[in-house]
Amino acid sequence: MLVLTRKSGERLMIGDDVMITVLDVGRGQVRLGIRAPDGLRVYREEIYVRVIEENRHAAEAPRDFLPDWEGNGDED
Amino acid sequence: MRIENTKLGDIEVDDARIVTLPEGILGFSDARRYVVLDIRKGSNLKWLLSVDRPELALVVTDPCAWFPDYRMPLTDSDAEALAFLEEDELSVMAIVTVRGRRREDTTVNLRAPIAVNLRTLLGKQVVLSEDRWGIQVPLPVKTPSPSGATDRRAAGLR
Repeated sequence: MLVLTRKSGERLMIGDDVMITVLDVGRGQVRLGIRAPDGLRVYREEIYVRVIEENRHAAEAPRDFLPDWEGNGDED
Repeated sequence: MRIENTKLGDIEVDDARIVTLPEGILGFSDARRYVVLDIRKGSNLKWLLSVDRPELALVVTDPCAWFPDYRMPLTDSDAEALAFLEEDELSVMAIVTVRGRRREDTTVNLRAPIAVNLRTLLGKQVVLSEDRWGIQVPLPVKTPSPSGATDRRAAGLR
């Protein structure tokens, strides 16, 4: 892993298109500004981890979960 | 081809309907090929069945049928991954999590939908940047509108 030290107001470039600005360094917290092309999605890492967990839970769906419901998404 | 799924049994699927997600879905990156099967005729809930992993079958639904204002913006890199051309149609599926027997225990992941290009049958699970849509959203009790009634780009898989 590349490790760099930056001060408040300083920036990082990732490739030619992604710019990360250190906006504020507080107590145990850093605020970052991210400028990235529209095509690039930026999200907190924990969201990614939660999606993985949710996919794994979803994979445990029992084969017979439907019949108890009324109006269970039928189109007509 | 024939799929032997440990959950749903042996199923014969039409090869022409196999959807490929080159990156898999998150947490199951080695399972790349899927088919969409009716759970029950006419239901908006479907099985997304892995061709590659015999134990993997997820419930999916067209999110727009339940949430008419739902949108999944397609970015340039998504379009590239899906080989998406202007005239192509996109299907969006949201993964459903069943936690118990009750309907209230069933949630849908609107934050990370699966988009499929209906021409190339290439798909991708996308994690949306904006936090407007949650990962564990309860399914509304009201009967959803027919698939694809609200947005051509977000029509259900046919």
